[in-house]
Order: sequence, then C-alpha cells, then structure tokens
Amino acid sequence: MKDDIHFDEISSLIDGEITEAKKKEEITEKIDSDTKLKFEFLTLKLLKKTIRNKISPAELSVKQKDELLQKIGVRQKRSNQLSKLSFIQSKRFIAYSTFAVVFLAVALLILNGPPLNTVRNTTPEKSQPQNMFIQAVNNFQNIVSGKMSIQVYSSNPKELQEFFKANGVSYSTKITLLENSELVGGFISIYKGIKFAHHIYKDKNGNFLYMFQVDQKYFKEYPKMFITNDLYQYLQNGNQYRLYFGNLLTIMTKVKNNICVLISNFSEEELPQKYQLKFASTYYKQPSVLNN
Amino acid sequence: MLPILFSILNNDKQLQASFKSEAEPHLDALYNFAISLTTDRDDAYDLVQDTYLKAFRFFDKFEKGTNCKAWLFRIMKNTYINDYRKRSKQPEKVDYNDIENFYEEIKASFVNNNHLEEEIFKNLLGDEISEAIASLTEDFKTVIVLCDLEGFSYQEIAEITNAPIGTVRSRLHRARKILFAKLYKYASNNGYTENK
Repeated sequence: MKDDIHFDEISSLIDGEITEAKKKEEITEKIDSDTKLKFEFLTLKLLKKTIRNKISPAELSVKQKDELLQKIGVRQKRSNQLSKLSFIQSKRFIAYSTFAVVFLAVALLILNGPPLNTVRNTTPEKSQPQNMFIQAVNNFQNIVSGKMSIQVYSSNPKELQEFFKANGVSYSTKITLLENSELVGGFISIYKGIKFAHHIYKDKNGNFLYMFQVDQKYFKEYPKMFITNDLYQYLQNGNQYRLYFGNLLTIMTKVKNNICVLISNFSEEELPQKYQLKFASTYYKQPSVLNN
Repeated sequence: MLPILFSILNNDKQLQASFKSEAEPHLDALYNFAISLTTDRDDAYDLVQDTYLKAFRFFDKFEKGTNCKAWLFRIMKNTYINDYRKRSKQPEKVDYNDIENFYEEIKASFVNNNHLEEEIFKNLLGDEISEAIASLTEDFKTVIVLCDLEGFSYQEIAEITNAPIGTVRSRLHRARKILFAKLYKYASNNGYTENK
C-alpha cells in the first residue's frame, strides 16, 4: 500500500502536478535511491514523451467543419419546431413575428414606392458554371483537401509576383503580407489559354485565406468569367460582395485593376482590415442558402 | 418597438458569435477525444456533432471566463456514456497483477540501461501507439488522452470524468504501466528491441 502511494506520486511528478518544492525534492530523492521506483519513473516518463512526440492528432477537414456548423443550424430549427409551444411563448418568437410585420410593411412600401438603387442579379454562385467565383470555390476546396498542389512556396510577395510574371501571367498582381498569417505560396491556372494568379495564406491554427485575381481587361473578351454584368458594375463602384458558406467566407471586390475573389475560414477580426465587415461597403448576405 | 426587437436579435447573434469564438478552436481536439472513445471515425464525427449541438443549446449556461475546452469535453464524455457506449466495442480488461509481474520480469534488463528510448520506442509509429491506447479500457484510455495528448490538469480531468482526483492519479499511473507493457510486448514481437 505504501509503495502504491509512491508510484502514484511518480506520475504526479512526471505530469508537473507536484508544485511544492519540498515534496518534489523528497520524491526525487526516493526515486534516486530505489531501483524499482527509478525504473518506473524512467519508463513512464519515456512513455509520456513518446505519446506526445509520435502521435499526430487527427483533424476534421474544412468541409466536415463546415457541414457540422450547417447541421447545427438545421437541428436548431428542427428542435424549435418540436417545441412550438415554448417557442411561441419565447421572446424570440415575438421578436421574429414583429420583424416579419415590419418587413412586410417595408416590402409593401418599396413595391408601391419609387425604385431603390439596389444590386440585382448578384448571385454569382448561380450564374455561369465557369465563372471566377465558382472556380475560386472549387480551387479553395481542392487546396484544403490536398487535391490541388501549390506550385511555388514562398513567403515573399515579390518572389511570388515574379513567379507569376515569369510563368505567363500578363497582368500585375497585388500581394501583401498579413499580420496574423503567413504567405504560403501560389499557383497559376489556365482558362481559355489565359494564365491567372492565385495565392494562399495560412494562420497558426491551420486556417486558410485564398486569393484569386483577374485583370478586369478580360471582362470584355470573356464576360462569362465575370459572373453577371450587374455585379461587375457593383464591384466597379467600390463595393464588396460577401457570402458565407457555413464558416467559409467569400468576398468579391476590386483591387486596383483586378477583380479579386477572396475565400477564407479566418474569423472576421483576422481578415485584412479592408475586408472586415465593419470597414467594408458591402452587399452582405448571410447565411447562404446555396446547397453546394 | 424596433430597438427592443434589435436588442433581442443582437443578443442571439452575440451568443452565436461568442459560441463560435469559444468553441470552434476545440473542434479538432474534440474529434480526437471522440475517436479514442468510439474507436470509429464515423461514430467520432457523429459524437462531435451531438456534443457541439448540446453545447450550443446550453451555451447560455456556460460561465464566461472558465475553461470552455474542459466544459466541451465534459459534455462529450457524458454524451458518449448516455448515447454511444452501448454500441462501441469495449476492449478486453487486463489483469493488473499480470502487468506487475511483467514489470518485475523486464526490470532487471533496464536498470543499467541509459538508452531506453533507443531500445524500445525508437521504431514505434504513431499509429501503433494510438492503437495501443485504443485497446485500453475506457477509463484508462480517457485519462491518457486527456493528460498526455490534451494536456489537462488532474483537477480538470477529475471534473471531466466526474471522478475524485485521487482516482484520476491512480488510474493514470496504472494506465501508463499497462500501456508501457503493451508497447514493450509489441516492440519485442516486431523485433524493435533485442530484449525478448
């Protein structure tokens, strides 16, 4: 029994659970003077170190995380339906029903009033299958799942720009360093014989920020690539188009002469400042109703 | 009317945003714990979903500033016990006396050896160690995963597993000895060490 107590203390010592200096010293002395204790101490310490060093933790893919978050939203709705009575009595019900009434009133005012200056047809995800929005979403998923490889690894924006230029990208690209994440590298895609630049950032938590940029000069030649005319005009006016797929944010915007698609699972605060919702002039749509 | 409406909706939004920032960083750790409990990746994914859903539903009960990771792990452990344990294949129990005897047998060959790691664990792969952990009984693998992989303190493990801290300490010690014996035998059988 007495020995058992000592053995337990060995594990406590290994795990740093013994903080009292005197007690620590006492146990260490016992270990040093007893071969049985020493043997246990060495083997168990080795075991802990081996577990820590050799086991690499499993990770949920971005897609799984995304699905998970979406399912949570759906289940919340289901559970609300199951408990209708308590929901009807809840503050949220009153809030939503009031909102519905206000919304209906505003809708009627709009329908009967003068036309507002709004963006129409801004649903790039539902337009041409080969548009840059769809390409960007596919590319991002392929990068995260490892199906698409990065052609050049560099944390230096200039090196990446030179790579793009040397390999046939005929427009200038905008690449900056971000505070909370590291520039990983880039790759080139080809559409109708034209080469396009893509680059990727990764933060310390393994989240990605992916950027696809296309010079607007291609708009006249290949309008289908640029989603819809309305949205193109909307971006020209300095606005952003934002869309959430679960926790995956997609932003379309114009930077200098390029139309850019940014896709990221960073949180809002981690995004470069000009892409954060509070700083951006946006058409904001959340959550997405798109079933991908 | 509208300010009240917006404040209610804002509270909901704030709660969601707060849940996202507190709970989302622990998804992978939860998934790993779920794998060790269920020993099946599909079941583990389902268990993560159920845990997350429960956590979201009761997030208003979560005390801000306390350990969210430990709170999520406790929910997962309870969810597993209530909904998953019956379906999961339970590993065979090991007679602890056999482990003590085994230790006595191999002790002599190690006392003067300064290269334990070289001898035993150098060639072991992470997957082999994971399998050995998975083959432990639920109580044992739980404490190993929580302590050695997730870095929880004994006090936190006691709260997650709903066991006294002394039990956690002795369970962990026994679990390690059993795991060491398993790995040693495995290493011997696979020619990783000369000490057969």
